[in-house]
Amino acid sequence: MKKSEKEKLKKAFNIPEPERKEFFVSLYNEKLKKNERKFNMPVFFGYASTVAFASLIIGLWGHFNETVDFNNKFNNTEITSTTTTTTVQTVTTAQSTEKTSSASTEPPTTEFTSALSYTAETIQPTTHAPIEMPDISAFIPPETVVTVSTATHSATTSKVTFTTKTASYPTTTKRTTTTVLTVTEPVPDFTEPFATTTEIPTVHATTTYYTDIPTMIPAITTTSRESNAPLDVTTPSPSLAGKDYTVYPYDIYSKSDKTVDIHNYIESNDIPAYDGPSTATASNVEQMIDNSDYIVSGRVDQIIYTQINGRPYTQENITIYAVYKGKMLKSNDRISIYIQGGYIPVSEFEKLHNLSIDVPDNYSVYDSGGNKGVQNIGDTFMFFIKNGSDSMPEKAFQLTEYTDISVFRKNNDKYISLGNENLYFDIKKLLNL
Amino acid sequence: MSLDVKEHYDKIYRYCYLRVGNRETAEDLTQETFLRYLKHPKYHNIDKTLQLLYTIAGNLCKDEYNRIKTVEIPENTVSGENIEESVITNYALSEALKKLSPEDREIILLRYVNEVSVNVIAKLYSISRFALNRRINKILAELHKELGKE
Repeated sequence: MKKSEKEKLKKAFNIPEPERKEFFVSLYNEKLKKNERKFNMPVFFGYASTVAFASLIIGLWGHFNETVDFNNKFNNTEITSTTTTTTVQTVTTAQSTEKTSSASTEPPTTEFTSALSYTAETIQPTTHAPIEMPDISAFIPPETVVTVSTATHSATTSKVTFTTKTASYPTTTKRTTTTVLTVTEPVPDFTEPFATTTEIPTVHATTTYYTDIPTMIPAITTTSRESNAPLDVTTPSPSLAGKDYTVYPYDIYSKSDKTVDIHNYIESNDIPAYDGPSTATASNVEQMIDNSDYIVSGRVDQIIYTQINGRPYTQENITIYAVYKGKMLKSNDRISIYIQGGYIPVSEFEKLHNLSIDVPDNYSVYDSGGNKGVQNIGDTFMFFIKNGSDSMPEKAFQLTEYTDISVFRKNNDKYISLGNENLYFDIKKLLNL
Repeated sequence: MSLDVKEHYDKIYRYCYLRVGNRETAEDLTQETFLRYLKHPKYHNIDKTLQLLYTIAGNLCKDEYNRIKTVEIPENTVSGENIEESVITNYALSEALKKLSPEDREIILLRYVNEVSVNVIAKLYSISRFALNRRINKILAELHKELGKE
């Protein structure tokens, strides 16, 4: 809304001017100063106590750092373990009867078998004295924790299983990786033709970028440009990325394979009350330059079908390569440009315009919006744009002349309007802006 | 952040006047709004600051409106130049505004006269930005329609 219209609206509300404003403002400002003084004292004491406490902590840290050597304790990261198997001799003794013979000259033999038998797997605790541990202090490194387990049993030799562990702490090796980012940006005067053969700048780091309502708009990803299928969005790394001015549209529609051209339909069915699209006012490039808030070259990243005041609109999210006019926008910024024309599902269109269209509900209503060219995802163009109208989401842009008359593709040395081939210019015209 | 009371006094006053319809009462409520605002913690974000101000003002107006039974007829303020045209335009627009619901009138005042952002208004009315935009468009369409009839 223009300023003059806002003024008229303001007057139409018939609100009388206040009478006590100046008096109250001076009183309020005095009160504000008093409040600030009262606020500052506690803040001062707060800061002072914080500084004192921090000094105490630093002092204690320094003291402990000198008296306790943290570093050497934990350098030995070896873990030594010695395992031995416990073997138990199986001793069996059996008692047998003594055999003797008066007539034999052989001496008598006796075999004894112990009533107790032990195996390695079945060591039973007994009341026999524990085995004396060997002295291992000679070969254990200092500051070693030794854990010993013993088993007690009689009349056997046993080896002890023990494990030595040294206190160890994981060490970390600092690794730094350097990612080399190579961004190939086209020269502002575009030495190569684009729109069909343009190379998309590539970078080594890839990030997926979402707007602040990251739900419905799909992250379009692919590097193929043969079709309108979703693209891989390779955006610059955070260190190279510009600002994101893209907006979230009021509605998002999908495009059906079956469409009905609304202007043809209205003509043939005599349906009134659907206005034609806004038309261009500039008759030459110089006027278009004057009428534009910004002139940018950029790549189409996303195409979203939506509506503004019931009319089909297309929102194109683009990444800016270069800015030729205007101060706010910079290279690598992302913006949304509203172009009149697009697709709306038939049912939605009928609701918005309170009319009936005699086609199945799975159709989309198509409104060319006065555009003649084709823009695909991945294509690069020169856009003449201005700030969006009040009906559009905040921070959105729109084409200066509403249609793709304001969109130019490079052809050899010239830039030719998509909507009117008689409109063209040389890049030098923009370099002196 | 510190609030420029001189800038926002008129806006809060207009908002209160629209609610209560009386100059004296609207000024009292405006001043009360700023005094109560002083007691709250301060925000760095201007949108949150405005939202707080309008919420305080709205609550005060609700309390006051419940006590006020009659509404004073507002005075006409017409600029000196081109009186006839501005009277006609003013009157027509004024009449069109009266046909809107009180909430719709408020929204138009906040959005176009007080120039409050859509975000803040949406939060005041607890609706989404998109719903608010649709509503504003609908209100403007109604106004245009009413003005077209004149």
